[in-house]
Amino acid sequence: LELNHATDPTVFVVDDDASLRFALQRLFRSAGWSVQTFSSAEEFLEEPRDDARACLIADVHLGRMSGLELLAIVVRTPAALPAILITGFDGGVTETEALRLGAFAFFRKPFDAFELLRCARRAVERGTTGGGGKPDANLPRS
Amino acid sequence: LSTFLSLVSAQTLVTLFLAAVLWSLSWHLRRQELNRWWAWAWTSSAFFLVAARTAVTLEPDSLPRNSLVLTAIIAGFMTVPLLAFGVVSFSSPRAIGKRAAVAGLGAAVVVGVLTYIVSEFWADPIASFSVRQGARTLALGIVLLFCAWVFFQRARVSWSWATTITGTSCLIYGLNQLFFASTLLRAAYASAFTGTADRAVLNAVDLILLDVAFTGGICLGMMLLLVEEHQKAERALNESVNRGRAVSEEVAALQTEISKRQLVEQELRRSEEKFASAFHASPCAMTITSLEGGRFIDVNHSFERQMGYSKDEVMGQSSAELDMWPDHEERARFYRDLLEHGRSPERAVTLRTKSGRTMWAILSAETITVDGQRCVLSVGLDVTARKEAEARHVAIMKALPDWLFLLSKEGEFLEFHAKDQSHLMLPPDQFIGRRLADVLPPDLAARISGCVAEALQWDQLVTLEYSLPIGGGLRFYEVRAVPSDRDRVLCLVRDMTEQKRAQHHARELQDELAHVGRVMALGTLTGSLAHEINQPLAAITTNAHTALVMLEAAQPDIAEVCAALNDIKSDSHRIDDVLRHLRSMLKKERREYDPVDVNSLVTEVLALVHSDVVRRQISLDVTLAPNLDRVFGDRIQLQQVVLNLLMNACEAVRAVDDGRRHVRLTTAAEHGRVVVSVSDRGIGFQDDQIDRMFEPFFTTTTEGMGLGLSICRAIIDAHGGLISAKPNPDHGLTCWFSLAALAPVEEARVKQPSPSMRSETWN
Repeated sequence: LELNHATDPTVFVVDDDASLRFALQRLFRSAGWSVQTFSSAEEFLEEPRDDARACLIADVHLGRMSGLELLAIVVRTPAALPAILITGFDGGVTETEALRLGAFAFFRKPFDAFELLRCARRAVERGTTGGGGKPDANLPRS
Repeated sequence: LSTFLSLVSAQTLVTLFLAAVLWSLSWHLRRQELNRWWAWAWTSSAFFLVAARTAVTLEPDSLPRNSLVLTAIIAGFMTVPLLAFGVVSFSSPRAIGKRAAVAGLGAAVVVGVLTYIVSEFWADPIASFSVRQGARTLALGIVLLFCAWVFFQRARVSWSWATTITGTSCLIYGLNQLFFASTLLRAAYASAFTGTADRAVLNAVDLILLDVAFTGGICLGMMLLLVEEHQKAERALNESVNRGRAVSEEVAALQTEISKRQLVEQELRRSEEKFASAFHASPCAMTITSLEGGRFIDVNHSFERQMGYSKDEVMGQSSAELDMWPDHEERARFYRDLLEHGRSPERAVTLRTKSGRTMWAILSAETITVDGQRCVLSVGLDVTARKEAEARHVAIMKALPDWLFLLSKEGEFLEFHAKDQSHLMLPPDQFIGRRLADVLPPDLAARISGCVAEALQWDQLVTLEYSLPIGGGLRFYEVRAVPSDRDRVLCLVRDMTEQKRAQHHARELQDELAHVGRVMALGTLTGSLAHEINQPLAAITTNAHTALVMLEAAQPDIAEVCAALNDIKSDSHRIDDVLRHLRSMLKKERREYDPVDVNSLVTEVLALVHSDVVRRQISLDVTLAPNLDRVFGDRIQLQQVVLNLLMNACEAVRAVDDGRRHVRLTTAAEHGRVVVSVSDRGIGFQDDQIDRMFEPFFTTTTEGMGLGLSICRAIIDAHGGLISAKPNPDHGLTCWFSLAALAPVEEARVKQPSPSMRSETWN
């Protein structure tokens, strides 16, 4: 996996499930990504970060602030951090809502790790080419 | 002649003495007619003797002598009727009236005069003397014989010396006179034809001695008669004294009798008073009615009370008129008994009260006499209550589905009652009179004996359940032993077989329902449960992918691959746990009661609902009391209850704002019970809804069927626990259930079920 940029892309993982956090960290790190994990949306928002060449993977169901609320905040940031939402529930309503709010992609657990990696890469590239905010038409639906 | 004269003088003296005695007697004893007549008789006789004696001394054929002779002969003849009157009145007093006396004496005078005239035909003085004296002595002799006859008659009737001596004297005197008369008359006869005077007359002078002697005899006799009379009078006096004494005794006796009677009367009055108070105070109804017509004369208070009539209402009326006897035949029998036997023995009768109510009574009656009128005293005992109790008793016996045994203290079967005898071990005649141990298996006989002894000892109801193989199947019984009296026990045995069967069936149904409830509850959780599985599954697939990618590298980082694989392993366990809980909840198996740790079962439920709580963004606050005693129950069913309560709480807070989506679950120990409560800050319920929320099909939403809480209640009821809900002071509702905590000792006991408990389980 070669990247054109000097710096590694960054993924921010926000999930209340520690196990999945570790798994995603391991996945992205092995792919050469820089990974930062958070157990809640508030924790993520409090942390100063660099949104350049970065994407967000957030669980919809978090403790106090939900993934959708977080999404609504990050899409309005100047960098328009691309966000991929994941959920353990198979709620169609949530998916529609997420995409309407500007999510880059929506995955249901369990997801295909390769697809997620590829989607995250696309999201970072889309962000750098400046076409951000538009969802991928060929989003996988697991 | 001088001898003759002296003899006559002696005779005259004796006769005078006799006359004097008789006069004196008749003077003192006026009632004695004999004495009076004979006093006259012997006076006339004495007069004759004196006159005759005097005449002899006078010159013959002189006027004085002749008139003296006439007077003498008249006096001599007068002696005859006077003697006769005396004895006649002796034998029958007052027989001689005045006319008879005059006639008799008149006749004597006439005969005397005639005799004198006839004697004057004889010139010879001795001859004429003989004629005169012959006639006189003849008459005197005859009358003396009559006298003798009368006295002998008397002596024959009642012998006494007086009558015998008098009679004998009269007889001999009379015979002597007759003999003298015959001598005189023969001499007179001879002198009339020969003209010479017979001196034989003078030869008969000796006979005068006899006359004197027997005149004395008569005198003695009369004295004796007097003595006799005196004795008689004395006897009569004694008798009258005795009679007087007897009379006084009688009078005394009479007085005693009178006072006795007074006492009796007093007693009678007292007894009447006693009767009256007994009559009115008696708890039995008592009446006095006339025998004829049966009309009321008196009734007591009990009668008034029991029959509802006042005394005034019934007085003078008859029971038939008042229609007191519903059965007229019965009344007829009652009165027939009274008329025929004077009493009516105790009989059970029905009477009608004034209000028309039927009264059962034991009635007995007896005829009595009140103021000369034949009456009936009736006594009635009201046994209506007893009859009704008996009827109730019979009805209860009829309606009772149980078998009823009466057992003695020693366990002997005394009596048996049953409506249905089909499932009896033995026919009644084969166990009545026998003992428990002879009829039942030894261990059961011992248990029932113990039961009987316990019931008697503590005077209370003792129950026991047992089973017996009868008719090819095991049948279940419950015996309730209750003391009947000091040494008998009433055992009610109920066949519980059908009930047990029904209970078993109900339990199966309840298990089924609980299972359905669980499936439904878990159905609402499926989304959350999927999340619960998807979460670790996502981690697993990610790790697996990473590991594969790592292994494909030229120099794989083996340590990192191992870490990934370890994570996969632990995540797999997470899935396995969830699935195991889920499977156990979904499993449809016969429930088993065990000691259960409430905290651990709550934790397991929390594992199942965790994702749901998270998804709903509910803050769940769990407080588990440490060192909680265990409870005895079915783990899965209790989990179901906790699950249901939690999900209801989550449902309740769904509609409220984020900040109030709190659910709080606590476990606690309170007064030997374990309490699990789930409270929410949701919308809450109205009070009337709280009352109904444990009823089936009660729901406030359109989604559920409203069975969850009713199933919870059924489960907790089956565990002998309590389940309830109450509104919170601020918001929402608290639902809680409590179960008896098992003390460590009890826990040891339930781990090793006793034989009796084992016998109750259904096979």
